Amino acid sequence: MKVAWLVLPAVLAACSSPQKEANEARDTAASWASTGAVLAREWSRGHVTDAYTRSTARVATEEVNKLTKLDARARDAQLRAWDALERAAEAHEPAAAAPLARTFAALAKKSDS
Amino acid sequence: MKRLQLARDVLDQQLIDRYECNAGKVDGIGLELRDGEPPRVAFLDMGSDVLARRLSPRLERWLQALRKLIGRKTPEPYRVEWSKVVKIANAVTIDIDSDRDAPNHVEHWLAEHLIGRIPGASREKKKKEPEQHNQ
Amino acid sequence: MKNVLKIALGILTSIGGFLDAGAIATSSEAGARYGFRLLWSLAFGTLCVVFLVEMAGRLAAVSNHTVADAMRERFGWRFFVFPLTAELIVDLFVIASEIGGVCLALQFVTGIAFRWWAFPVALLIWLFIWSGSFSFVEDSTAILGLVTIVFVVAVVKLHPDYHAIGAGFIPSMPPKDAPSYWFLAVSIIGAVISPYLLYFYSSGAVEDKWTEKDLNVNRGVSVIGMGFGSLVAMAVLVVAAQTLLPAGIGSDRYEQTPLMLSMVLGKTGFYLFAASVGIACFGAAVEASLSVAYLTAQSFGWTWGEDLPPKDDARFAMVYTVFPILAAAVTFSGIDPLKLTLFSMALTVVILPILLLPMIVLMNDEKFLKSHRNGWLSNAVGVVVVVVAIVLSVVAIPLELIGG
Repeated sequence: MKVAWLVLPAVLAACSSPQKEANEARDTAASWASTGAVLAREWSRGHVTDAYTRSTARVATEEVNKLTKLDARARDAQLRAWDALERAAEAHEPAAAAPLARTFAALAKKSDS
Repeated sequence: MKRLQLARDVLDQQLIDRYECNAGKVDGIGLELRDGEPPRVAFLDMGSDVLARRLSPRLERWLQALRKLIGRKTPEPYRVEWSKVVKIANAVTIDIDSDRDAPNHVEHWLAEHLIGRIPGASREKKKKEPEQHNQ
Repeated sequence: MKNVLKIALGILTSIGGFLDAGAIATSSEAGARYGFRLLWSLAFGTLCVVFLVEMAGRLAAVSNHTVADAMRERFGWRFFVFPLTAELIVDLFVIASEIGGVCLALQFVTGIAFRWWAFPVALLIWLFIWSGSFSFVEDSTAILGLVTIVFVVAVVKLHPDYHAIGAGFIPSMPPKDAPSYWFLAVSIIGAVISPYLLYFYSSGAVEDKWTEKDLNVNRGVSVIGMGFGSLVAMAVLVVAAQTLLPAGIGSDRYEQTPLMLSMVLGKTGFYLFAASVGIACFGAAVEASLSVAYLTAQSFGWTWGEDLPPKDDARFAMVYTVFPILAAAVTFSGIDPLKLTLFSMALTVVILPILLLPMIVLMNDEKFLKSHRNGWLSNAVGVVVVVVAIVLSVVAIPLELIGG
């Protein structure tokens, strides 16, 4: 166990370059954007409940907000989309979800490249 | 005559009282030193103090200090005379009534003041014997 | 005929015991991130748990001792206090994770944040243990647990490439992200080998008064039962690999996982997912809470038995009353349940050597096992598990810090 703690700082230092952090943030953002795309689609088809959509949107907002290493414009764009989805779910308007699904899909594609 | 190893066959074994109820574990074994004669087994010890002492004497002192702090008297470890031991097999059977004699005061206190007061505490859970299910 | 019935029931039980918050979380994350690539670690964990559960049952049937009783007797208090303490700490986090799983299932359906469900769920767990007998607890978690078969249905409906699935059973290096890949492999093994299962299973065998005549039942239950539970866990992994992975959804939070079934089975899938997670975690929480009570009572020689009225084993009842409340407090603190689950799974692997090594020694002791001591195969598997667990626990903590 002791050896592990000795090795630890070295390993941690080796893997926390700013480049890597930025990459990780982009991956996570893409994963959440994809989640948004699927969630919006599933909700518009009536496959998932309003309550689930709302609480997931809240969690996503929380997680995306944590991505400080992400490009601010990309982050704000995704946060706006989640906000729109949460409000639509609160208003029980699954019709609003179809365009949002497209927005999320575009965001996912953008952060992928 | 079967050979008995104290540490292997007695220490840390399950204790069973005369009504076949669980009565704790053999937490310690006491030897009596006699002048000019070999020592012999005198009693079995039970209780948290004994367990603490077996880990470290300091732990036992802390435990006793803690007891004093909350205003409880330090109980002597509960002792069972070696002569009360009836049988040593899968468990150690002793000729006591654990409900009356053994240090089961925590069990009794809980049964009386806490657990026993919750609805359903005395309800029999198994009404039927499994044999009756067979048709 | 009676044996067949016993095996059938045991198999149902082990689905409940096998599939829990840890197995669902780690399997879906593995599928979402690495496709079928981590199936091998599920298979390895299953192999280990089959052997360990069989040992625990054999010990109970032959010696009439539970694992906890036998360990204290054989190794003495001064050694036993370490595995006992380690197991109690891990159980606290495991139960907190299971309660978190139930709470999340309720959150999916109601939209009310999971932490507010923590104490009501703990109360329900207590009520279940308080009022039920052992066979009631065993049978009801088992029958309700059947709902998790929905994952197998989803696999059939998805028509996955079975050759690719087969390839997943051969360990391979990850394409990227090696530390998180290995950490996930560790967590899967920790999720599958739940030590509380061994205490629970051996106590149940003593409660059901198993004898040497039941050794065949024991073998059947551990092989087929654990195998079946593992099949469901593998189905979760395959479904995640077929739905979440192509959609680009990494499983960062539990909230993303219900989509894997709604994408295949629509609204029914969504509700069955919530039901599966809720029921599997509830069953595991009940079994783990009971297992803590068994472990404590047997360590100190108290009267115990789930079939007794609580008043007759007040200390035993006290433990299963207090422990779920403590665990619920951990859940209520608002730690992300997925992180909590992965943490407790890694912690499980860390304590495995100290729990399993004495168990292997015990299984070779003539005093307890008479003529039914471990064969070379059981010993070999036992030693391999211990060695793998030691190696993994030396890397588990640093990997968690990197991975997390």
